[in-house]
Amino acid sequence: MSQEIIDKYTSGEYKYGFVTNIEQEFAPKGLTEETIKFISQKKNEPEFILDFRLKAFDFWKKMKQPNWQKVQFPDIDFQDIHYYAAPAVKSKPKSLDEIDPEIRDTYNKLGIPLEEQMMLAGIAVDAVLDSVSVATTYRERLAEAGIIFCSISEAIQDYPELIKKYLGSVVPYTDNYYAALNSAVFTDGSFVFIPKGVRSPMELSTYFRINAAQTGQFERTLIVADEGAYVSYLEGCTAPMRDENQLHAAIVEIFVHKDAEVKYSTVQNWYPGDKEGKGGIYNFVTKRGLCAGDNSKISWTQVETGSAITWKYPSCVLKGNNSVGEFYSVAITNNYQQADTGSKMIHIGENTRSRIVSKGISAGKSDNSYRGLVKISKKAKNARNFTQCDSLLIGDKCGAHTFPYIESENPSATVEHEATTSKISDDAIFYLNQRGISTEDAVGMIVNGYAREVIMQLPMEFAVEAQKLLSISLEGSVG
Amino acid sequence: MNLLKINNLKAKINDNEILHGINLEVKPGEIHAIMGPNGSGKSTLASVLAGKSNYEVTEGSVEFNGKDLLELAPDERAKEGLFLAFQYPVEIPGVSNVNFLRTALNEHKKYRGEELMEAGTFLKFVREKAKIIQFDNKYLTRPVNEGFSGGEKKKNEIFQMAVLEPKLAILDETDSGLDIDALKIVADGVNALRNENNAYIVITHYQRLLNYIVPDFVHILYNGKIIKTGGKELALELEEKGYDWIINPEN
Amino acid sequence: MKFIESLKEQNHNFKINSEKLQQAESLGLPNFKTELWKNTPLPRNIYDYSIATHNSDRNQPLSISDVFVEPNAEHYKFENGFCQQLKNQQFENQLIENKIDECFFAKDIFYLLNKSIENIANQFVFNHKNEKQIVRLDYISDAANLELINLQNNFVLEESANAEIFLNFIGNDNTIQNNIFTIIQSPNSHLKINILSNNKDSQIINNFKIIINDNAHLTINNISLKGKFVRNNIQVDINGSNAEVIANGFYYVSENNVADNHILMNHNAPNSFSNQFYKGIIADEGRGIFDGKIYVKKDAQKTDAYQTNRNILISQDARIFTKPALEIYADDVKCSHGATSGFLQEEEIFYLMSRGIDKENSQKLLLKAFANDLIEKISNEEYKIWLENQIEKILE
Repeated sequence: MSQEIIDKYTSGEYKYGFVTNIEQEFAPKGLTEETIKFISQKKNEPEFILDFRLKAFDFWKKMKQPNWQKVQFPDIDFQDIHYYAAPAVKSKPKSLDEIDPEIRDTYNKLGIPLEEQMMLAGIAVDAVLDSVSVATTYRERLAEAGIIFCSISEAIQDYPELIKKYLGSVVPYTDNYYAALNSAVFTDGSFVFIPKGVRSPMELSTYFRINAAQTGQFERTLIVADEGAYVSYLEGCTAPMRDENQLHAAIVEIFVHKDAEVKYSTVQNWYPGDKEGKGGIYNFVTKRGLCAGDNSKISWTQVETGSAITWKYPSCVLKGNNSVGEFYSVAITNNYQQADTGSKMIHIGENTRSRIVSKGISAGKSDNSYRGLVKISKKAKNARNFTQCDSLLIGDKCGAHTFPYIESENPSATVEHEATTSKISDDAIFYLNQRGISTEDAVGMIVNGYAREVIMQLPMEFAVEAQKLLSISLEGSVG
Repeated sequence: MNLLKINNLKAKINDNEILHGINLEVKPGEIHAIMGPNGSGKSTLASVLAGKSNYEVTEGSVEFNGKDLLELAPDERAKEGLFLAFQYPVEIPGVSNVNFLRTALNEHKKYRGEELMEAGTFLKFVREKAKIIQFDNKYLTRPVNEGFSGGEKKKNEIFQMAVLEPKLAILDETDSGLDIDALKIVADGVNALRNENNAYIVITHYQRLLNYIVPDFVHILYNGKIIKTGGKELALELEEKGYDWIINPEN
Repeated sequence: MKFIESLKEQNHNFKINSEKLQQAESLGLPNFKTELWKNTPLPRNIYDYSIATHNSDRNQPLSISDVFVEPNAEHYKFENGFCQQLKNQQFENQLIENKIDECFFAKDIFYLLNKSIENIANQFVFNHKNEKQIVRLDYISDAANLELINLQNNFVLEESANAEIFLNFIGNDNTIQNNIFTIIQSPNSHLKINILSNNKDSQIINNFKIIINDNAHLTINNISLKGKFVRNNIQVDINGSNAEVIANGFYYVSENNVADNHILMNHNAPNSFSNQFYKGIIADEGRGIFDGKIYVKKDAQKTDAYQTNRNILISQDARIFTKPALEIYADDVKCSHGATSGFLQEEEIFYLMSRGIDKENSQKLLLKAFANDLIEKISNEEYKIWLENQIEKILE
């Protein structure tokens, strides 16, 4: 491939980099017990949540900021961040019409209309701007089915017993540095509860957007699927272009009971920084699901195109017998992006199965690592795992790495790991050229073909969006 | 009017000149066969015409369709109506044949300012084409060439040719690795697609294919030059006497 | 740590590099957070080991058994770190000193400890152009007290040299051998290294740093069939083009023993080839560790590098930890790796049983086949047959 093509591909512009001009309310910069109390008070939280926050904060203070082998960035000054930023509204809008038109416009620009068109798409949306949830659509229709889908702040008010039971049950605040931080300062996020035997009639979706400057976004998502329930949940993210790095440290917890299934899909397109590596989101996320009951299933699918640094390992703890964990991932890095992502599959129950399919694409001067753990504990009789990790390199200034950890303590378990590294072959591009397809389109086509196995796991509308994103990330970066 | 006019074409790869001055004219409706021993430059000629980047043209000119072919990017050459059936078709995992071809065809149509084809219409159109060349529909949805046998890959090349309807198709040793049944299918396909407006350059080692695709002209390429041109009987003579007869006429 | 203290005392003939010793001491012993020891338990009572010297008390001297006797080999015997035959050839090795600290095991207490002793090196130079040179080195440790034995051997292959080296490690369970091997291969040289641990009590830590240059060929056959604690750290720096490295490994781990293999294949130059192929059978309460990496530097285009690790667990309490890693900075490369952990397939056992072989023998047959798949890659015919017999005995 010629140098021009590589250059061209590695300079794409970020489409979602606009700023919404709305009046916002901030907590003062910095993190102290006072900040946490401020947040908690602002949200009128019950005592047990404040306790939870303060305990997490105490724990966090004793921890050291982690540094990772393959991810490099300057230390974050945690006192230089706003821990709370919200659109200044007197009260939560009662209907969609009451939402600030500027905010609605923001989501329209993002292709996430909060309007009734969503009915046609059949997706219920919870939109989170900076720290707070601005709107949740289709609540009534979901409520008919007994499904709770609301912001986590509302859930804390309205369903404290559920929150008490499940918050922190999968990701305790002691889990890691950023999980502790999130537990102390989380401002909003989504809550989903699917009751016994209910299959959600529509896909649920949260759209995260960081708007305000010098703000961290610490949202927290909690999904609970009771016995025999099913839900497909989608998450999308964008942020404006800003010169400074912004921190996003989220937690997603999924609790799945017997015979239930949760499918969680993410298209992550946070601002990745500019061509010189200035700005962009630090995306440090803890995502974990617990297959608590027998025959339960969790499937993670992620398409990661954004963020300056991504650090996340959506994981499954397979506790119930016959439970299944899946992880499908496409991660593209370009320019100076760094991605360190993968999955952990912890097999505890008998006959548990897991599957990991990871496709990394590195371009520009970026680094893309798969890091994963497959652990078969002693009791996990007949557990099976299959892992396939492929890396594609575009140009010779980027890196692609694979760090799989496999630990097996059970002789009846089978673990298989395969990985390959390759580049886009000049022959393939020439072949497509010869059929009349331009080089940019050819690269896009090859990359999409390469990622197909993962894209196919996404719900239709998301898949189309993801395919476009893959091409866009490479355009200006790789087509 | 010539469709293709190659004038004193010289080309090299890694400072190694392979084509030492090729001259060739092709008119619409004609079939030209290019024969020659291994290493004579047959495939190089095909690659240079299609615009493969690792070859450098050092001298000469190529006019195609009234345009300077050498000035065009590979995809533009394709959209001008030049088609190369590859000797070794590339596998492209995850990209379905039908999606790939629809993209390609619509690029052609865009180039010509024609209306693009919708998915439904396109599917009908390719099924039609598949029938003409006896190409099994099951290959339409499979990823491009992935897991295809050698014969299937070659048939897929002819199928793509049928869909894209080029003005000039270059078949680069399309017969290599084909058994006699597959060879017939490929040849039947070519004959079915042939008309007075398009032309073919058939590159082959053996006379065998020319029993089924009857050429108007046979050129012998040797050491980067066309050293003899004749009618279809030249191929037969070659089959009988070998290349030595032309290369060293004194013997 | 007694071994550090014993070096600080003056009643030995070692020349001490106090800076290195200081580094070793301040680093301290590794724990489960140390990446290279994450899954490797330290030998028991490690604090109580002192350093072996010339005057170490010996138990009943260990006899050399269960080693392969290559008739054409020059034979050297190291006893508790000292070789009578090379008595006057021990020297401070400056030749390759500087090159070798750049290795993944350099920040390890055992490595630093060894390096803090400056006069324990021996050097073997191979320069025959046509004839193949074969050397067999037996490393025997049979001290009466808990002692750590440090030793450094360097092998230098001059241009076009051709050599085969047999390294046999034999020790009692009072001793821990802590060895550093440095190997430099000049252009066009060929080398086979056969590493063998086949003694039930051995506790061994080997560090290999190998540098190879243009057109050099290297084959490593790293076999551990017995041993309480066998750790092999191997780093190969491929600094030349058209070089070829084959690293074969086989480990059988029984009782509550540990077989610990770390290998880093550094592709620093273009157009080279490497293949790591490790297989292991873990029995009883054994613990197997494989930690391999292919590293391809930015300039090392056209690298072909492969890595495979396959394991079979044959008991409820057996454990395997495997980490096959790739770190790649060049785009025009072919790299792949694979790892599996599993058990004997019921269908296969059933198939053999249906032919009249009883279950136990069916299992043995399949395990033997699993091992032989690797052993077959060893080109020295006699050694291969010998190993096959050893494995058969173990599986009995």
